[in-house]
Amino acid sequence: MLAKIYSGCITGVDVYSVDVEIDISGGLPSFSVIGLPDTSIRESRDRIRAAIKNSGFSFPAKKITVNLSPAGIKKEGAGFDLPIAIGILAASGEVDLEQLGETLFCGELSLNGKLKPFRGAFPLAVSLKDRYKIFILPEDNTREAAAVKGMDIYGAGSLRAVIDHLKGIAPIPPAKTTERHTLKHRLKREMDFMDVRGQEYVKRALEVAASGRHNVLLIGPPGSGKSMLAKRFPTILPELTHAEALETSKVYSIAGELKNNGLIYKRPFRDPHHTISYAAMAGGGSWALPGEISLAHNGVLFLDEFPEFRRDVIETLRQPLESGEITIARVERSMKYPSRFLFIAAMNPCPCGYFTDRKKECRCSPYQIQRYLSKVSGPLLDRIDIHIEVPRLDYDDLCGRRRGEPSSVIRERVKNIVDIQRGRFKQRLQHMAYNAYMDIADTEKYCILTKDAEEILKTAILELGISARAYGKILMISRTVADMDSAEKIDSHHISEAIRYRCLDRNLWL
Amino acid sequence: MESRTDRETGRLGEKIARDFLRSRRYLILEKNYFTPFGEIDLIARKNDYTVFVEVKTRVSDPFGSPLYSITRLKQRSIVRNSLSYMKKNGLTEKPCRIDVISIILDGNKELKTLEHIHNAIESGS
Repeated sequence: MLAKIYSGCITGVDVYSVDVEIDISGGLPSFSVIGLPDTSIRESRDRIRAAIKNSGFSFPAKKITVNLSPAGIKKEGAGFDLPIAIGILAASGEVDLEQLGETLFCGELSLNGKLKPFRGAFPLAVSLKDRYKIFILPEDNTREAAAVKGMDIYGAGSLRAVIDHLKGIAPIPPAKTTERHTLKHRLKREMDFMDVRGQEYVKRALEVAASGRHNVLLIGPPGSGKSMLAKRFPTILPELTHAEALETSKVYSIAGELKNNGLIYKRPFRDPHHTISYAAMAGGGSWALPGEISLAHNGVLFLDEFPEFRRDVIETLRQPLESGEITIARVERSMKYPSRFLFIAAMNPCPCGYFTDRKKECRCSPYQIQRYLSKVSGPLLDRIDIHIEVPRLDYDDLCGRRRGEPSSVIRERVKNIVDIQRGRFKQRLQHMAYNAYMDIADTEKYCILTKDAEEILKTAILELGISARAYGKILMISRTVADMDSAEKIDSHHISEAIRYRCLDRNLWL
Repeated sequence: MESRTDRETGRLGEKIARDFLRSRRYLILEKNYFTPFGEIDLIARKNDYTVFVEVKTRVSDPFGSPLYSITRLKQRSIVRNSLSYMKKNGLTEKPCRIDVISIILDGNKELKTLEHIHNAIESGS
């Protein structure tokens, strides 16, 4: 007797449709699974046997062969427990099921027959909704799958519940499509730019960064508010677009972090500790899970105490900052995860932290300072557009009553600038439509300077020794500043402001 | 080395097992069947199934259930013996299985407990 049940699995972010074929024949009883199953699938035989017995069915004393087709792709994960169990029950005649041609089954089984959640329900639903109309999966995966329109999602608690549903004895109601919560809803009392006193200059720089998607390096003494500001940065970024939310949710689903929730609708903010390992940052490890840089996709990656991170861990940032994705090479294959984020780094100006402080004395030797700062030199620094000093707060700011603008106001302005860029870079893909991603041809086309502006720039290059790369960055930043000023041409004050955001270029203290 | 009493116990257990199976409507096909690889205690049939039965007998106060004495090696041997019979009699595509009957006798050689486990040993991986 033969049965075929449809399922799927994910490898990296790729979804594969998998046909679970079950053949039951005579001869001495055995139970084998073929089709390149991984260890957890091979182990699943005992789970499935126990689950079937404990659900009130008898496990056939026959020769059972399960084939996961296509046979040449490695299958992973425990999501095949449910389809295999259903298939065995159908093929042994234990349960009489009609055509299950349009139905997708996925789920892990416990020994007692209960269905447990698996990783990747969301990307599976997104990719396979055109092929299969119905998706039957564990209850705990319902919300994330129900965020996908166009598919009937049925969440069940146990194997028994699935069988009763299929036989019409106890039908499960289809899940309602998970609605996106509106941002107003959620940002009621969360962090806000207003919480930070003073530091208007830094706030302005962060607004420029948010508007043009420029990466930022904050340099300042301990307690100056660098971390506080960085953590509030996502509040001035516009909401995720639907496409961005889908992409980010896929990554989170694979990382097993979606669970009971629907789509991700907030910009991700990841701030790993500086002791993080290579695998945790880049992704990989034995499970080949997405790393911090992928979990920050369409969001913000904040590295506090930047010089304390290991060199090799910092190196992992290069590929994403360049191409927007990370390739993880494993023994049998390599996987690509998306990884496009806004990067914020924070650091002290020297090992003791007080080099640039007006009040406190710095205890470091020039050599120590030199060595400390050189840790952040090189290709990575080249990719950071904005570097600014964050000074310690003075008395007026710290104890004054004056509050800054709320994030919502700043966010509105940022949204307008994002719209301008979208119009400017019409032909591009949406996620590339930002000033920070301009290339040389773009800067020549869109960064037209006034005569005064050219003068200023010339002076800067001659007197401050600005490199070619820095020149390009200054143009990009000044384009954003000009946009914020609703100016078509870049004027001298735009250029000056942009130059001020390149404090390391000026080698003021080296 | 099997002593005479051990062999007697074994024979007694096998008889009890045979009677038990008959009472459960099994047809006894063979007893102490010899294959080129080894011996099968009992071969029986019920409904469509051909059942190969391994009988394990112990006298009272055993060290745990007699079932534990069936090692991996013994299991493989039972499978091999069964397959040999199946091949010889054209049963390789027919429903078959291997059962174990465990018998515990009390001090007077009377039956104390009998356990019949269906499909106790599977072949393959």
